[in-house]
Amino acid sequence: MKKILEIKNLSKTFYDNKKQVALSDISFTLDEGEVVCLVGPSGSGKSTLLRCIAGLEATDKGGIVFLGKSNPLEDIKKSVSFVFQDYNLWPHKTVLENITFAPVKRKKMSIVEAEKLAISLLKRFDLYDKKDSYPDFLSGGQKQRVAIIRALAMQPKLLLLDEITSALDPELISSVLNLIKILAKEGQSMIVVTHHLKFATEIADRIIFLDGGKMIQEASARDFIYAQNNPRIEDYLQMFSLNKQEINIYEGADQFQAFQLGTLKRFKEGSSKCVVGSSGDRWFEAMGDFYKTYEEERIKRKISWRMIMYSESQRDHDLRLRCPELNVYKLIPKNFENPANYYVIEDVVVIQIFGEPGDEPAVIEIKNKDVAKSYMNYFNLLWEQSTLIV
Amino acid sequence: MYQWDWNVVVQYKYVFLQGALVTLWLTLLVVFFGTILGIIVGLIRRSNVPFIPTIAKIYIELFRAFPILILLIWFYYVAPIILGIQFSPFLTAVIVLSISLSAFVAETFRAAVESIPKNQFESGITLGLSQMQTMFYIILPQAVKNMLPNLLGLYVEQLKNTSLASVIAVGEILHQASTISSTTYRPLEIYSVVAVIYLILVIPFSLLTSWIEKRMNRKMRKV
Repeated sequence: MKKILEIKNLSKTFYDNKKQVALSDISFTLDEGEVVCLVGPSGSGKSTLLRCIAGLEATDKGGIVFLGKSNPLEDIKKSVSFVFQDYNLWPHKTVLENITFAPVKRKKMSIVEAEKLAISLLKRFDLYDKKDSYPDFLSGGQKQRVAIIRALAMQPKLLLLDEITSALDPELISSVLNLIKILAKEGQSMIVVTHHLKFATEIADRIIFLDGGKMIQEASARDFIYAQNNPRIEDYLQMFSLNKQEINIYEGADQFQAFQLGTLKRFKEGSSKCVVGSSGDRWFEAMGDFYKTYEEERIKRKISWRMIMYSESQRDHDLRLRCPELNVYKLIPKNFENPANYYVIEDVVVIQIFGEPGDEPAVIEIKNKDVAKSYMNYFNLLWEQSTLIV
Repeated sequence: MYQWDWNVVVQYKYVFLQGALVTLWLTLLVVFFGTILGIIVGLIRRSNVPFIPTIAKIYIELFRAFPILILLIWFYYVAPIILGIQFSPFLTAVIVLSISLSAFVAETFRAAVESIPKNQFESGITLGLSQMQTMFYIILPQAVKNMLPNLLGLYVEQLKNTSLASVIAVGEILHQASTISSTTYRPLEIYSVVAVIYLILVIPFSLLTSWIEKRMNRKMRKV
């Protein structure tokens, strides 16, 4: 994949009242079509980093290589668009004028051409009827979508989004996030500063965690959320869940797989996963090719499966024979059958939903000691009544 | 008991009219040149080049501090000695009043531009517009709306300031009045009429100010 952006040992210090190091020694790269999310506590330097990339702040040390050029200010101005937290639409221009102005002035598009592009974007994102409105008459969500469309109208090679949902009411956030998800799927390269961790996991190829101006971690979205081993970041992640208990829902095959692989890394070596309601091969299908990775990791870390099943599938059968010490299965009568199955591992209950063949799988994760205990009791009850498969 | 005699006004009506026209003409020229010069000074005041903004700042502070009367007299009598050029009284008045107005316009302009959030500027830059394009198409239209009420106030003020030009014998309304008065000895009638003429000149300006303000507000409300 073509590399479009490379940040090398970038540092930035502000000297407003007193010396304040905003960024120190930041390095990472971004490939074409990739989405990187910058997360971290307030004041960690995320926005400053984004502003440095956009050329809004001068850097002290280190360099930015964009499209292979080490002095890229002109190219950045031409090919990088920035969307601000507080929209910054131009109040004296209509929605349509806001969108067409820069393409006409900067890209030398004809007005007709620019309006055609703007109208197609507005129609696509459901804002066509607002084209002649002034920004003051739009809701926050609409304003931010217009601001994103305005940035897209420049057909940027790289889109920078700076906490674009922070100024929005909760019910307006999803409309903006959905737009970004569509862009991510289409392969728009983006660097996104966000506090929405769930959103970050859905769109990011990689997540970079900043704290005090330093890069603490750069990880795949999956490892960052599900297999976090840095105590500082765990604390940060914890802040986004109330108390110690937490309920998360992950939908779709990608997230299903990421969740399974991530949680496996999180659990202690030698722990045991107790599954109720396994039948057929739906779990293996939902895991796709990652099933083998999962198995290798599981065997390496000696995590055992204790399963109560309605019928043993061929793959389960193979697995049990391959590693009898890690796979203990019991059979339970068909009239106990449930549409969803669940498993308990340590203090976590995971409900897995597969739906009809061809449906997208989903998981509901419940982190709660008491709930896990009651599910375990039910598991033990069934376990006693079941017959061992040999 | 003083006997009012308004015949003198009728008798000299064309002289009054001429004086009023000179006042108006002088004001229009001063408003035109003063505004352009003021915006240029204001732009220089905001430029990034080292030291240049300081020069603009000194210009603004100096010409806001000097009384216009002193400037007029100084420019009319001293400038020829230093520069070797003698300007006509009318031209002197245009230059001095324009410079004075420009200092106030520059300051109003600076305040108006600074009232526009910084990120309006940044939004232009990040969409690839140049600094000049951003200034002229994004910041200025918004700034002008903010500065318009103040600006129109300055213009009305400047219309009244033209009366100071009478000291260097510019034939504006006040100068005409004092000439008539010195030959007819009817100062009360004459200066009363002058006061009314100023009122007639200023009121349309005030009406225009509030009309433009209303219109500007309405335009942005259009959906």
